Amino acid sequence: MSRKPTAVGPTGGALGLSALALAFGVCCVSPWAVTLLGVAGAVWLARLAFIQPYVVAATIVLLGVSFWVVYRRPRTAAGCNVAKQHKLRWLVWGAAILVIAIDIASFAPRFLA
Amino acid sequence: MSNHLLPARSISVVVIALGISALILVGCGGPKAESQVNSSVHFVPLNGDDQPLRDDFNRDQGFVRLMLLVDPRCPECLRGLADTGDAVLAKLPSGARIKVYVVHEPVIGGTDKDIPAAADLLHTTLARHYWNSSGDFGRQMSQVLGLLHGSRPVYAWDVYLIYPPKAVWSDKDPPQPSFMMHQLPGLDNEKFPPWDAKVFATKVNETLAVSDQKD
Repeated sequence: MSRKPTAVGPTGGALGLSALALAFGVCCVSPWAVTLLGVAGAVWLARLAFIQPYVVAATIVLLGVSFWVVYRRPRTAAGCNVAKQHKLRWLVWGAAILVIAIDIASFAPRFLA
Repeated sequence: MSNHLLPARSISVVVIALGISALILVGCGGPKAESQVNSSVHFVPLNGDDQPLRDDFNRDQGFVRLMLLVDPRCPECLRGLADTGDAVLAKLPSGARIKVYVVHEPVIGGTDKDIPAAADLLHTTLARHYWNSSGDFGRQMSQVLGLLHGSRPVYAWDVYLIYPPKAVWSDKDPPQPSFMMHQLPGLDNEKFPPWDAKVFATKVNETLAVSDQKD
């Protein structure tokens, strides 16, 4: 059985949610939100900004799921494609670095203000 | 067989993440909201002597007065205005003796063109709007309120003040408010309570009740 399907989902989800966390983190110190979303949208974003830490936590959980999927022991040797597995591990590591960088960036405004 | 297809659970995770992002980017009705902005909102520039705010403040003695310091492009400030409109002003009893002054300051790029859209969030004609293009009023209020992060002064914006009916602006600087809230990082939250619309509404109503008893 290929592991790609179950690894790609959580990894993609982690990337999507980290982008969301960045939007929550940066919205309140820059004027782009009003330009992009209008006044009502910016207010909505600011009202939901409190969930940013939970969104970041969710990205970490999803990354954990991705790592578990690509590093767990295969049940059978049959169908195990080592090259594909390595490629997938690189993909998850790359995504993890990106997600963690974005997560940290999403908190930066709190400390730079 | 299904190796090249994503299972439904994985798809749902991606779809949820993309959906939330899409909601933020598209579904907030921003342009629609802006198109409904009441462009007739009147605002006046604030000069170096804080006029006409100072005269308005003193003329309105006998009223509970709210002073809101915001950048009209700052999402947190806009949230503060919207909360004030929804949780405080919209729920006031008719004939409540209250005045609202909103001082708009250019902190993160707000301009006077942004004031009408921001003003609409208060849903009231009780408010008077002032534009402080130099930003000096924020520095002045920072000193008045003693806003410090460690020993570093913190510029006064995203700050919400309540003045009792008897407050008079007799010195060069505005008087101390009876209560303040803010959405600024780095302030001592014991001394300067962070923004909570329900608490702010309660304090406004308490101040109104006390002033009604005295009358």
